[in-house]
Amino acid sequence: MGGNHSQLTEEELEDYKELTYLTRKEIFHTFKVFTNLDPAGVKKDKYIRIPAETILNLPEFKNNPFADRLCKVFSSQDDDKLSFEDFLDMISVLSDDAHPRKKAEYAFRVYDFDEDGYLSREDIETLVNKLTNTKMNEREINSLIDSILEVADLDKDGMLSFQEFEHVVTKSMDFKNSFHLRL
Amino acid sequence: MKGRPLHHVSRNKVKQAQVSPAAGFAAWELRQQKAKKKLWETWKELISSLNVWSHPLKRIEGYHGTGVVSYFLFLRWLLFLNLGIFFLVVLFILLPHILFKPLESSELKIENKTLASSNYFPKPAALRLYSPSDLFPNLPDEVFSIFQDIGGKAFDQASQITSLLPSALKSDKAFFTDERLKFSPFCSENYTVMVNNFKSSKIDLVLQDFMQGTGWMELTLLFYGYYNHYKLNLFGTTRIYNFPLAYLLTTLAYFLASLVLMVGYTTEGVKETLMTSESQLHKYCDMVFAGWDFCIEDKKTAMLKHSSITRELKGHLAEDQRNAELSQWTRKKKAKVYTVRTIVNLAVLGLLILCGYILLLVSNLSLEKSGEDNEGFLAVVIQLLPSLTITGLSLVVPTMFGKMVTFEEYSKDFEIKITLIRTVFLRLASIGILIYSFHHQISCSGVSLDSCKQGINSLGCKKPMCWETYIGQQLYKLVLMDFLVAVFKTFVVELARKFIVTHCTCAKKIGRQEFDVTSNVLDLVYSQTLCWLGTFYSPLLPGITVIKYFILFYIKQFTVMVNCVPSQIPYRASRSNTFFMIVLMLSFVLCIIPLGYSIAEVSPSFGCGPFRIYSIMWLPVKEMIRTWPTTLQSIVDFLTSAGFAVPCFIILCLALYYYSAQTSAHKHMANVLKDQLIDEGRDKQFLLARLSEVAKQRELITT
Repeated sequence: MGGNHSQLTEEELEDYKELTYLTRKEIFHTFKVFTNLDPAGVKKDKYIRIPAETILNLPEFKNNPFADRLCKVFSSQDDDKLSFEDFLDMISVLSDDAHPRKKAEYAFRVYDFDEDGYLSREDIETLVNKLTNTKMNEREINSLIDSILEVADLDKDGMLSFQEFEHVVTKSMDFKNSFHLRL
Repeated sequence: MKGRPLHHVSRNKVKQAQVSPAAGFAAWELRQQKAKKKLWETWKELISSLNVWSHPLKRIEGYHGTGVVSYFLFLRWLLFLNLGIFFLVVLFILLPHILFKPLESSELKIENKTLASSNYFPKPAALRLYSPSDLFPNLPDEVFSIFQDIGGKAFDQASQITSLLPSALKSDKAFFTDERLKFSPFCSENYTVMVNNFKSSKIDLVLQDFMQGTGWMELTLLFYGYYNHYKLNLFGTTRIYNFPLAYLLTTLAYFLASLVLMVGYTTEGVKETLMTSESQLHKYCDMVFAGWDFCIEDKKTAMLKHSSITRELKGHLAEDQRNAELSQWTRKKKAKVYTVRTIVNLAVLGLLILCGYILLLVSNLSLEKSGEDNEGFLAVVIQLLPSLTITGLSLVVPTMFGKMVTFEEYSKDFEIKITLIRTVFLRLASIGILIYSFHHQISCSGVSLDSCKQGINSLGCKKPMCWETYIGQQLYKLVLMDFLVAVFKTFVVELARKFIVTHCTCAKKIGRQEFDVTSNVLDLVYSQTLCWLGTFYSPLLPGITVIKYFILFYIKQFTVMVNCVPSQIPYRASRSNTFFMIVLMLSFVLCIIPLGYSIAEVSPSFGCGPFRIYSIMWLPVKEMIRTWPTTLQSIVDFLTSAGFAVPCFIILCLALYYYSAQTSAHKHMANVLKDQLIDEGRDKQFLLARLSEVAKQRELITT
C-alpha cells in the first residue's frame, strides 16, 4: 500500500472514513481498483474522471443489467464519467453497512429510467424486461404491474413516489442483501 | 453526515463547523461523544479483522449468489462462537487443572489397598480412618476450629463427623453422604485400574480406541472422568481455586454467552421478519425491486439468474390465478383435500415415530453388542451405528416429506415452509430420542448396582462405572461420525456424481448437484447441538468442533465451486437466516433441559470426575452460598422460593398482554392511516381535475 499511500493522503482517508460507510481497508482497496483502471491517468491527477465504459469492464459490473444506470446515477457531473469520489460513493452505498434508507434512495434513482422522480408504469415495465431479458408477454407484465401498484401505491396515483418505494422496499429484508456489492 | 454524495460536501466547511464550543459542559460532552465514537470505530475495525475468508466468500458469492454465501457466513459465526466457548473452557478448567497443584489436605488417600484386579467390588474392610480435613476439603477454615477443640481425633465413621457440624451445614440433604465418602477413593482407584486394563498398544486397537474414545483416550483431559475434585492452590499463594465450582460456573458462563450472542444476532432479523408478515402481498415488490443480486459476476450465473427470476415471476402469477380458482372449489373437492391433508399429517407423524423407534432400537443394540468382545472393523461399525442411523434418516426422510407434501395441494411457498418445519422436527426429535436412550441406559434400579454404583451385567443393568464419561464418549463418537460423513459425502458421493453426469450421457436425468442450503444449515445446527450437549461431559469438545468447522469450510468451499452448479431455484436468504437462528435457539433449549436435569437431579459417579464426593452436581454452588453473609443468603433463598417466582410470572404475563395489546392497536392505526392516505390521494386528483377544468374554462372565456 506504500505507493498508493502517497496518492491518498492520511487526511483524505480520515475524511472518507467519516463520510462513507467503508473501513480504511475497504477504501484502500477501492482506490487500488480505481487506479488499475487507468494507472497513468490516476498517477498524474487523482481527481481524474474516468469514463463509464472503462468502469463497466470491471468483472463486478460486466454482467449486471443495471450497471450503466448505476454509473449514470453516481456521476456527479452528469458527463458519463466517474471520479474516484463518485466511485467511492457508489461502493459505499452498495456496501454491507450502508443504511437501508440510503440504499433505497439510490435504488429509486437507478430504477427511475425516465428520471422524472416517479416510478411510472413504463419504468416498472422497463425494469421487469431488464430482469427477465424480455421473456414475459404483455398480459403477464400488466398483471404484475397491477399487483405491485396495488400494494405499493398508497395514494393511488398510478405511480410510485420515493416515499412509497422506500416504504415498500425497506420492509423487504432481501433488498439489503441483494442491493449489495463487494469489491 | 454519512452517505451524502462526496462532491456535495465541502470538507473544509464541515471541519470548521465541527470546532467545538469552548463552554465547559458542552465541550466535555462533545469530547465524550468523540471518544465513544472513536471506541466504536476501533471496535468495528477489530470485528472487521475477524472477517477472515472474505476472498473465498466473494468468489462463492460471485458464482452462486447470496443464498449460498449465507451458509458460509453462518458457519463462520458458529466457528467463532465455539472458539469463544473453548477459550472459556481452557482458561477456567483446563489450565487450572494442569498448572495448579491440589491442596494437600484435599487429596483422599487410601492406605492398605486391597484390590483384586479382576474384582470390581471394593472391599470396605480396608477402610482407613479419616481425619476431618480429608473429608471436607471445601469447607471454610472456621469449621475446622470445631475439630481442633476435639483434639483432632480420628473418626471411623463419617457420620460421626457430620453430627458435629454446625446445624446450618446439616440442614439440606447432606453435602457428603456416608456412602460416598467411604467408597469414593476406592471407586476412583477401581476405575483407574479398570481403564488401564483395557489399554492396549496394538496399533489397530489404538485406532479403534481413537474412534470410540475408549482405552487410552478414556482417562485423558478429553473426558469428564479425568478431572479431580480437589481444591487447587494458586501459584505461591495460599489462595484456593475451588475447581468443582469453577467447572459448574464455566458451564453456566458459556451457555449464557451463547444465548446472548444468538439473541444479538437475531433481534434485527426478527423485527424485519415480523414486519414482512404481510409478505404474501409484497412478494412481487420483493421479486422485482430486490430481485437482482448485484454481486453476481459470472456470466453463466447471470443468465441463470435472469431465467430463474422469469420462472419465479411466471410461477407466482400462475399461482395467483390458481388461488383465484381455489375459492371456487366445490364442497366435495374441499372435503377431499382436507381428508388428504389429515391423512398426510398423520402419516408424517407416524413416520417420525417410526424413526424414533428405529433409533431407540439401534442405540440399545449398539450398547448390547459393544459389551461383547468384537475387534476391528465390526466393532467400530457397531459403535458408530447410532450416528450412521441418524445420518441415514436425515438423508432419506426429508425427501419422503418432499414427495408427500405434493399430495396436500398447498401453494408452493407454503409447501417449502411446511417441509422445512417437518425436517426440523425430525432433526430435533432424533437428538431427543438419543438423549432419552442415554438416560435409559444409565438409570437402573438400586438392586442391580454394586457399591460403586456400577451396573451388574448379570442382573441386566448396563450402567458403566463412570456414566458421564460414557455420555461424553457417545457424543464424541457422534461428532466424529458427523464429520466423516460430511467428508465422505463431498469426496465420494458428490464427486462421483459430477464425473458420472459429465462423462456419461445416460445419467443426464440425475442432473448436476445443486448446493442445498437448507439441509446443510440443519446439519450445522445438529453439530452445534452435539457440541453444546457434550461440552460438560467432554471439555475438549468445543476445540474439536472448531477444528471440524475449519476443515468443513474448505471442504464445502471445494464442493460448492467444483461439484455444484448454481441453483435453479432462487433462495430467499434473508427470511431463512432468522429462521435458522430460531432453530438454533430451539436446539439450545433442547440442550439445556437434559443438562440442567442431570446437574440438579442425577447423582454423579463415585469414581470419577470433579463431583465424585458430592451427592448432586449442584452442591458446590450451594456450598459457596453457605459461605456468604446471612443477609445475602436469605436474599438468595427468597429469590429461589415460590413466593418470588409466582408474582414474577404473573407480572411477566401482564407485560406480555400489554405489549400484544399495543401491537394490535398499532396495526389498527396503520390501517386507518393507509385509508387516510388513499382518501388524500383521491382528493388531490379531484382537485387537480377541477383545477384543469377551471383553467380550460378560463381559456375558453378569454378566447
